[in-house]
Amino acid sequence: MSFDGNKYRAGDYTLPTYYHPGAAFQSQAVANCLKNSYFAAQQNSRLLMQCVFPQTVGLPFATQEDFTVYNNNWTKIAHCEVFLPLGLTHIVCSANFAALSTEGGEVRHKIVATNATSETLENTHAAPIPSSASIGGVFGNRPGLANQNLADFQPMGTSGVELELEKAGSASITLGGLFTIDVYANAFYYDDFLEVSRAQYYRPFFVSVYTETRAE
Amino acid sequence: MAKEQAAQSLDPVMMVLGSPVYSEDSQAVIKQANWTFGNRPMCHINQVTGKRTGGASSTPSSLQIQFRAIASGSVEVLRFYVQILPETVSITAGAECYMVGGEGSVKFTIGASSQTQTYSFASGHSGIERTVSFAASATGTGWQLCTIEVEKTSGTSDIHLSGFRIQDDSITSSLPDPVIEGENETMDIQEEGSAVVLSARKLNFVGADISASSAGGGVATVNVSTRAPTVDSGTAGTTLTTAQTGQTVILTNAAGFVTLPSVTAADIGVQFVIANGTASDNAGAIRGDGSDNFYDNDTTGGETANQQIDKMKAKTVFCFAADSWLVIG
Repeated sequence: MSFDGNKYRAGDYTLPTYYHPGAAFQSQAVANCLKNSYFAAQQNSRLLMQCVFPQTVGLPFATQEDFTVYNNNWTKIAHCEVFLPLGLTHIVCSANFAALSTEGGEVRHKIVATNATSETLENTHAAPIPSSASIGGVFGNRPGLANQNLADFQPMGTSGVELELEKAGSASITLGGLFTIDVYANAFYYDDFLEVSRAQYYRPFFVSVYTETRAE
Repeated sequence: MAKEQAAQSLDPVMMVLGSPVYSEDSQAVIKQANWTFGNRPMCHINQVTGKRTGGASSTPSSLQIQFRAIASGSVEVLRFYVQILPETVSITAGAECYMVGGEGSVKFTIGASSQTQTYSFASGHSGIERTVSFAASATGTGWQLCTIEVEKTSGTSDIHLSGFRIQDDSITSSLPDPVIEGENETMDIQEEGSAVVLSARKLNFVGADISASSAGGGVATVNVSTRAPTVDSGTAGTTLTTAQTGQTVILTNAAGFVTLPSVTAADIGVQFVIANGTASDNAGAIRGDGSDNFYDNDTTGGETANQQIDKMKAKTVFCFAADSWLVIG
């Protein structure tokens, strides 16, 4: 099936006259009900996963670094098993994070969905590091994110990445089964002169993954 | 009747204003709506707690929910509510543990049902979600309390609960009928055609004469019992209450007696039958509360004196006004 969202992007009123026992049955009544059915499906976003990263406030100093990614490579930050039903068109990952760089650069997120027969679908998305300017101040440069917490005015941002599961009624991956969903992230700065990537501090705060069924 | 589901393309002609509509068209829409509902199972919660444990591609783990250091009983670590919709058929509960060694178990309780899943490091369960399945008929529907308990069953190695999930299973054949109680499906309660409660959602059976119990499969059995007579063979007397209206008391001791309850206008109609099943007359067989009056054809002014029942005879008393018993027989 496909969701023709251009036609059914909005819910329609079902007129009171539809319910009158003597009302002539009009195609418009059926069409309105159908549109509402599609519309409800599109609006019915479902939570798939949420992942919290405990804040460093109140935790021992020694553990703070455990929640920071400082790596050129993709680093898995969240992982779950979840049932994905039929008829979805997208799953969306939203991440709240802090990232710190004196050089600028990018924050990257990647979502990978793998079904029970090992079919895999993945997508990546890059966003600018929230604070790309120099962060030096009268107290000198701030330390890395590892020893910070929210109260320390970390440069925070929200970014995300989405996965298109179905397009024009054609599934990109077999749905209706158990999936493993992994979310990866890191932050880096590409040094044009030396042509190397340099890792930057990245700390996830909250990652959520949810379903969407969108108009095509 | 089950609600059919079907996902299908619908004829664009249906959308044209003024076009004819056939019953099949509306059925198709209903089936489509049912399909949409059934294929959007609720994911009540799927919570993981992140921690990077090492290198670039290491698996996230948890710091926050740790099993006991040694095997020493279970600990409830999570408690929350989920809304189980009436059409829900089954629910999957899963948990993932990171284990350094040893064995443990995670017990899920959803509503009235509990299930336990075991985890063994030796069997490769570390970092793997293991699930159990609940039937909604066992958990109950509506808001249900969920609890998760963790227990280390063997060894002293670290075990963490790193993720857990409660998710309804898709309904892909047809939607079952919802239960009535607690949901939007309602019925009117009538007594001989007169409405008592409109859109009722619950029947409450009160008193010892009527009882209800589950017969399984969503069927309730209602039992209405007739009141068994009381046989009083002693001399201590039987004290009746207004709730026992309709009671028959058989006195098999010539010195036995019955004490009636004090009655008010709200008790009009309360009635008892008392029999003297002995070969002797019983002068004090029926006793009032001391202030209520007995009336009969000869005693229209009422009296508080005990009422006699001759041998092998019976009397019926019923309340016809406040503080007033009519004696028949």
